[in-house]
Amino acid sequence: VGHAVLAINGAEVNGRFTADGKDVLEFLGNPANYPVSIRFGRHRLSSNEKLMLASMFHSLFAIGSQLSPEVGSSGIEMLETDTFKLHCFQTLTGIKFVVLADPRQAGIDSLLRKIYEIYSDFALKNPFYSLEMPIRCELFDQNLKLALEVAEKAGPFGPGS
Amino acid sequence: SRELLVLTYGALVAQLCKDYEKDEDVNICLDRMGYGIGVRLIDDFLARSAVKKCRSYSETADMIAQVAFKMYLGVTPSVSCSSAAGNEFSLILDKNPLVDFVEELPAERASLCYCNLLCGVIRGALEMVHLAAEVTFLQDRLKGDAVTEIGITFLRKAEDRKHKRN
Repeated sequence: VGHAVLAINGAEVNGRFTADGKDVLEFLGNPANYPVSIRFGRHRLSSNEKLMLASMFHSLFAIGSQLSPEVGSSGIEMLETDTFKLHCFQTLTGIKFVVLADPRQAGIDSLLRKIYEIYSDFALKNPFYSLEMPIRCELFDQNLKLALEVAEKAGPFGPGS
Repeated sequence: SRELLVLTYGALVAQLCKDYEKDEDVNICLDRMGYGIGVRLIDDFLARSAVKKCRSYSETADMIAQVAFKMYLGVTPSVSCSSAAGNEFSLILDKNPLVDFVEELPAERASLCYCNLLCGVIRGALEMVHLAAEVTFLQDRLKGDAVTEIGITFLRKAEDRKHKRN
């Protein structure tokens, strides 16, 4: 089915083990631990996979905007497949924000714009963040997580763009 | 809260004057700092103002004066085009909050561009949206001119941008 266990009782799961080293299957097999809340979802992409995806998409985006039958096309905004939708927002400065989401998820456009704001606040305004480098800013991660949670809660019937 | 910005800016310039003997060095330093701010500020500006792409240099100059200056300094300079080619513009500030507490430049600092940071900011911001420009102070009230005037000269033709797009 392609889904993996992402979290048990709120604690993140990495492969077969939880963050504090417990074996997931063992944990679930022991009735003493019930009731238990399990979060399923698509497998998180590894950093390598993200880099590959980003570089491939970057080239596709450039080719797409040149090939477009519409004059002055702004590039690929959305890529739709059976299992996921890829949304892309390119800023006037050339930065692309890419979101991979469930096909039924709504409100991604406003999420992309919110992410732009979060980036300009917590990444760009951090004097120790160098442009074009991976973003390792705590505040950025926190606020991004919050924005994602809000968007997820909105679900398929969320606010439109 | 603008006071703190103005005072901080003043302290910055004063410190630079202590660090560098020549006015030109201070000016260059301010411009460089401004550039570093501009390349980051542009995304904040675009994210918050949600403006559409400008189609001409004139629109860009208007955008800087009417939206950006308003947003960050609370003033709206007036814009005028100063070349037939349409790539040179002047922003005339009749009120400049950064110099609120400055009367005039000291005699030994006669060629200091006190607000040179602003030129760097504009230059850095424009560069991030793929517009190369030269930005300098054409007139400065602190130097005895009637108004404070910032000149923006766009260097590359807008059409070239299409080929530079990523």
